[in-house]
Amino acid sequence: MSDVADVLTHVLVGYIIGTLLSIRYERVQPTHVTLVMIGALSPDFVKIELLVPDGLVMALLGVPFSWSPLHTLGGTVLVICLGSLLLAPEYRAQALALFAIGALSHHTLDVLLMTPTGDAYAVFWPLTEYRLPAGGLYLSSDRWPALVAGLVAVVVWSVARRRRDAASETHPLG
Amino acid sequence: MSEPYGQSGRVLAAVILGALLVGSLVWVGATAAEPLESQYPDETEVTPEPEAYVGEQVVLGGFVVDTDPVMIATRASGYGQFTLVDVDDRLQNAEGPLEPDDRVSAFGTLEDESTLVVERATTRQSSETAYMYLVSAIGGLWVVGRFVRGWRFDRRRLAFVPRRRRDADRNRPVAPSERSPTADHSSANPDSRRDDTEHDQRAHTNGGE
Repeated sequence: MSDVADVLTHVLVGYIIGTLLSIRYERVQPTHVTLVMIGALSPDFVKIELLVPDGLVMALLGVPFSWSPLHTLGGTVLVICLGSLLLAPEYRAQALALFAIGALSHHTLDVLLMTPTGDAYAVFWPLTEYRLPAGGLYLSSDRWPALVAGLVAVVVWSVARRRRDAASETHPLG
Repeated sequence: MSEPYGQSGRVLAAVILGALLVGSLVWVGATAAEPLESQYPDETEVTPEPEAYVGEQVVLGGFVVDTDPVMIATRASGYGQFTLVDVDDRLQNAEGPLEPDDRVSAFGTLEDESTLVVERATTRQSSETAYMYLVSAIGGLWVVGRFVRGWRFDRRRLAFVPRRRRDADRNRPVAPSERSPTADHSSANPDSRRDDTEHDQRAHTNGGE
């Protein structure tokens, strides 16, 4: 469980991707950027484990239990489908796509983490338990990933803002 | 757009997805194949019976209790002590040497019951763990804040819809429920209680149609 990048880095990367999409596609609005950020956060719902450990659930329900599928491909698909059902129907297809983009960025970043064994986690579960070689780029306790992501986020934010201001000058009714 | 399969279809879909999700959590709990843990035995398996793992590749996590040679304890009580051979040279993310109380995760071959010949290791100080929890909480709160500001729960449709924005909705026909001045209440609205009563009244009216 120690091998997950910190949530802030994931959320910042979700913000960057979402904002870039909003620059490219007009129908991606700030509310939709939030959906990419939620997707980027979603595999870390596994951190419920810190509050409600597997063993506690096991004791309460009397069945074997593990939160870890939440942090895999299979768990991600189920979580984002459930999440999109919470939205009104006309937003679901787009939300599903935006959640998926965010979640993909999360798994990509986490496969790049440094692990003592040199293997990443079984990201493709339940399709296969194959573990990709770990990227070995950083640890979740490193500070530079959040710093780099934060700087890029600020740049992307100011570019998006400038474009929005320019657009509202062209279309004063906007 | 109304629910394509009605609210009962939506509930059915949620129940199926939820059952699959809970099923997978129980399934993994029941099998040894933890997707997030390494395929190698770790300290929870090795500490009680290290003799069973001699000669095997294992990964041991613990904290440093002695530095010459480096020894770790895998349990907070100080029990489960292993000597880590060559660990200072095999650290991936820091220059050695390790100091007492540093957290270490070491992968290698168990040479005898209490000696691990290290191939790769990572370390972190406890202040770095605190940092990770802090920024993770900030990240989570940021997302929650953005969602609350950008979306609201429409009680009539039992679903989240975007809050109206100046420019976001100009191409979208305004639903009757959104035309009401109460629809765009922000989280900072001090009159939220009055909002609720008006929502309820509207729900009541709709129910009569």
